[in-house]
Amino acid sequence: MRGIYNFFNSVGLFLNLFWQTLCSLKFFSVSIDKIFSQLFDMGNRTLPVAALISLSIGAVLALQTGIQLSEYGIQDRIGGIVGVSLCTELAPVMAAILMAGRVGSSITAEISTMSVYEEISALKTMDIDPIRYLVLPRFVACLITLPFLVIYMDLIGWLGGSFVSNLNQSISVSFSAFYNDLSQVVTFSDIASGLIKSVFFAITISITSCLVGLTTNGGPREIGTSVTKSVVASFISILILDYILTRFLILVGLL
Amino acid sequence: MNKSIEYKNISKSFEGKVVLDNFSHSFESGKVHVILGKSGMGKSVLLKVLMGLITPDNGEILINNKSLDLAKEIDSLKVSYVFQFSALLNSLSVIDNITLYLDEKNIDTKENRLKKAYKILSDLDLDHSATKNPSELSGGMRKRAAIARSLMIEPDILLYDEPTAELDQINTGIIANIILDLKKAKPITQLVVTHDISFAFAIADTISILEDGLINISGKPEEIKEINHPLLKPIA
Ligand SMILES: Nc1ncnc2c1ncn2[C@@H]1O[C@H](COP(=O)(O)OP(=O)(O)O)[C@@H](O)[C@H]1O
Ligand SMILES: [Mg+2]
Repeated sequence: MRGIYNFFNSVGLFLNLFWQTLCSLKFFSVSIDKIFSQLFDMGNRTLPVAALISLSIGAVLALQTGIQLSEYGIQDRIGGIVGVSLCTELAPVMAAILMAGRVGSSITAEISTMSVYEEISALKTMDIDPIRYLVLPRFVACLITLPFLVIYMDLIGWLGGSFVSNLNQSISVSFSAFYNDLSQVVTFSDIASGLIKSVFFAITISITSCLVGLTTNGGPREIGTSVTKSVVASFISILILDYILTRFLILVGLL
Repeated sequence: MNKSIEYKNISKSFEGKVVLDNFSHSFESGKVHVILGKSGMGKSVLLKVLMGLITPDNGEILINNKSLDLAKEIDSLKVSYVFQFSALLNSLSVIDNITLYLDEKNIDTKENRLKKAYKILSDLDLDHSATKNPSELSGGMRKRAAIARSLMIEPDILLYDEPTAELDQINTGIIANIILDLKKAKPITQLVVTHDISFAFAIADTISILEDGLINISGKPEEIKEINHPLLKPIA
């Protein structure tokens, strides 16, 4: 019972913060500086690791499926398979997981530290809305960074896949054959599906990590607990949301 | 007598634990009022209710017989709070902390904001640390920076939560002087919560003792000294 109550309570708090953040979007123009500094920070935290992850996922994907396909002599289909799996599923989910781990955790750490040391209360004494001051720039920056990260991981993942397909002896599909098949199979709606997912993931990650930070109370020990809580909550939400969104995108015919 | 701040039948509990129980007390304007009390007695809660950081379960606060919200709205009453651990924003330099309120509210030009901030900082002997990060300051400097930040909003009421906790004798003396200078320079009401008995007697116009959610003992320092209260033992 207690668990069910806590679950619905958290969902309520999440939706409330999401709504208030949307309302604070009218201060978008005066928050541009803060948004840029968040964008810069988020890019720094994610781009190098994202390149590494997507390169290796693309490579492994091509290796595993490519060898299977070559047993049937249809290895020239490899470009399409790698292309679609990456942009509809692997890139958005991996980008979101990376974002939650690298960016969400640091947002929660920063904001929960501010809660514990009464910096949030200090903002309130100056009549400065913490949602406008802290949540809004992180929310907007996340919403810009994550779709961008997905495209970035799509491209690098494809690159990794094409390299392996080209270099591996038993697959040996040329670059042009790989990208030729990819461009025939991957549709605009495949890419759009990945981006739609990433928008939902960005909302989930930014609001969850800010919410956990803002609701932290007690001593410095709580900061670590909050960070773990925020990352776990984001991971679980991403995985559940991924399934729901995939069903939905199939339903509306995008996938 | 002009009773500027009146707590009227304020009650506050946290998860069933009563902290303030039908609390009523008045503080005269323009004076320095010290509130003494054991730890966990609800001194911070008392200040936070006045600051608007905690909503009481019952009761209200009247400022010159107007409700707190009304006074803020009509008389543009301003209350500020000096936090126990200063609560400066660690992501900003000292000077950005000080100008934060004016920056965010977009009051005045950037140049004038800085001029005003540097004036206050030099009054508090902090101008040389303006570009430092709060984490590079000593406890005493952080406290003064927190006071500077509060003064930027030109408060009518300034609340101090244990301003000398973790400070040595010299820094405690500096804070005491700042409070006394402010009283002379401005028509400002200062409420100071503290453990430090000698500090209390150095600054107070009135001293009140908070016990079990109520103030039963309150008066001028000379009167309080006569009472043989266990909290005042260290000076006996
Ligand atoms: N936000 C809060 N949530 C729960 N309990 C609180 C909160 N703030 C204060 N309390 C409780 O109220 C009591 C009084 O706290 P406080 O005003 O901080 O005491 P002090 O006199 O030491 O400043 C304490 O028992 C504390 O645990
Ligand atoms: Mg306290």
